[in-house]
Amino acid sequence: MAKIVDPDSLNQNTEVYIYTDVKAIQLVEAGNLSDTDPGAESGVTGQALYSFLKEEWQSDSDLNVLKFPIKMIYEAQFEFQNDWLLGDSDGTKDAQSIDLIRDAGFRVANNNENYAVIVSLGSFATDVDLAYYQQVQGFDQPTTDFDKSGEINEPVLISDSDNDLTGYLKLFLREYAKLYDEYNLLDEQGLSSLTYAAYKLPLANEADINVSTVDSDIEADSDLATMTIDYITGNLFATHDPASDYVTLDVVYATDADAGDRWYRADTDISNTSDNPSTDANWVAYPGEKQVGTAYYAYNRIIDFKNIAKEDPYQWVQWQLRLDTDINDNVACDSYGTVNGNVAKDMLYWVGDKLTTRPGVFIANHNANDQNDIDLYDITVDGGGLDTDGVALTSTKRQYPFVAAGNMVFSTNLVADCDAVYWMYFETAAFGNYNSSDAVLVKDQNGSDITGSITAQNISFTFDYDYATDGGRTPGSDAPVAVAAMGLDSAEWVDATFTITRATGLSFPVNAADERNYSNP
Amino acid sequence: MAKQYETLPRRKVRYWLFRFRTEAEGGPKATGAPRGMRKYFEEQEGFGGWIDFAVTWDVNPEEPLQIVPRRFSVWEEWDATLNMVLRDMPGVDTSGSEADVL
Repeated sequence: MAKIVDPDSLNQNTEVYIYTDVKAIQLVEAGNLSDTDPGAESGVTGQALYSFLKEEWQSDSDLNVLKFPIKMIYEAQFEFQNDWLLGDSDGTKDAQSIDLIRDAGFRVANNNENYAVIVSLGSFATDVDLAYYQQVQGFDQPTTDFDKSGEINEPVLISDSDNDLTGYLKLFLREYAKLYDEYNLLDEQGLSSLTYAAYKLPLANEADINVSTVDSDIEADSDLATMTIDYITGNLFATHDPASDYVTLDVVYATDADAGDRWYRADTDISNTSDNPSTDANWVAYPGEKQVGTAYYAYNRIIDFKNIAKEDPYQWVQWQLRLDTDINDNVACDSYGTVNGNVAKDMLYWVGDKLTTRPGVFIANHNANDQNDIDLYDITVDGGGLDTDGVALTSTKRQYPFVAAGNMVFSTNLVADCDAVYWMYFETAAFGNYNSSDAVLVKDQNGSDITGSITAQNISFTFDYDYATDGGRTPGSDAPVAVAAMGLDSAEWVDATFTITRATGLSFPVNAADERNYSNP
Repeated sequence: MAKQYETLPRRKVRYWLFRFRTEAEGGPKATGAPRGMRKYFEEQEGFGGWIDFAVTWDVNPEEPLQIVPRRFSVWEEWDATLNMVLRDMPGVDTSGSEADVL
């Protein structure tokens, strides 16, 4: 059914009851008036109710002996005045009547209640998606579900005689297998406080194609159960200055040669600090410091992937972000405190096949195969530190050095030969070409020579494309290589040349002729 | 003798037309509607179906039993009004600012 915007849709004693003895107006789900989901498509606008009451007051002699109940301030704001309220025949406040108001915030003067009406912009994936909100800032503070699912258009009590909740309102939309959305109304719209008015704000979702495992299976997965999320305390995130004073938990990046371009956290209030925090007892190593490539960067939320391929950990994190319990595993035994999942800041998203972190989120112990598909946004030094939610105000994408990877694919006679071995050499190298006494073996990303016994048809290899300098190689350039292999009884010696490019999924086939002449009886 | 609906003021005529529309949408039946009123409108030229009442057609402000076309629906007109008094707010951005890419 439709939202009532026309006062002619209302009729006394069908949709609207007016109790003159107790000065109460009751809205009833009847006739043209409904309170169905979504709120954007039901209820009655404040202006339609006001206009209807004016027409009734004009024509009904039982009514016009009384002072008028509503002062309309503008289309999206009105007040119940002259002791009138939204109530039942006893004059008691009627929650259902309040739930039926749309598009206008309102104040009920006689009980000092103020309601903001929240109107969401954008589409919800389905009308059963239910948004919720938080009225007190803090990761340990409770939330309230909206009354109706789907796109929002409904009143929220922001203050009464006992409570003033006008200083904070944050909305969340987090549904299984949907992309998450949230909106901090006062921050985003630059408001100092809320008042009884309607607020339009963007809140929308759509299918998340990267979530397909049901919550119960995520929860029951013993590997995922070992994952952790660790929140790290710290402020400031500025370049260390020996001339400055610092307070406890300030985090600095020390560039002094002895300090080694590392991050440190003040263990106490500090004045007259030394040049070198690494030897100053007032400073400790910042537990959120992480090495990416050759440099160290600062993060304050660490997700330990436990070497699990990135697709499942992402789903686990999304599940955690819908829990109303503490998701801070406090691995570093820091003092960050409780972080309820359903109000925690979003942490991960996808850009194509790349798993990307929100500012300040680090993925620890990622699966080696994912190294090229992870982008990590840090807390950038001298970028202004953190906002009130602990999110970096300035963040920079950090990427691991690219690891080229592929398989050497050996012929069946090599695989069948128990003595078969292989070597991968730089075909041309500053320090010695292949087929010379100075030939240089290629090393994998861990620094081990790529050589060994042939134990399977496919033998994988990795290569530190961005940094490897073995044999005098120029980092970041394609590497021509030769793979030599030989068996004894089954396969002859063979070699083949290839190029390691900035890619994964490389395939180097090595096919030896059958051995027909070797004999050692 | 005049039929009951012929004596109704415009706002009451439109109330029942909204009820017929609500019923057509799957809402409560328009119980108590003036006898013959529904049929009277359905037989008029310009009747576009109950779902389209207040959308593409309405009743004449001067002659409440006469159908006239609407250019905009009552909901479109209300949305336009509301959009004038409420600002559209910018989209959510929780990703912080992104500096250079290494």
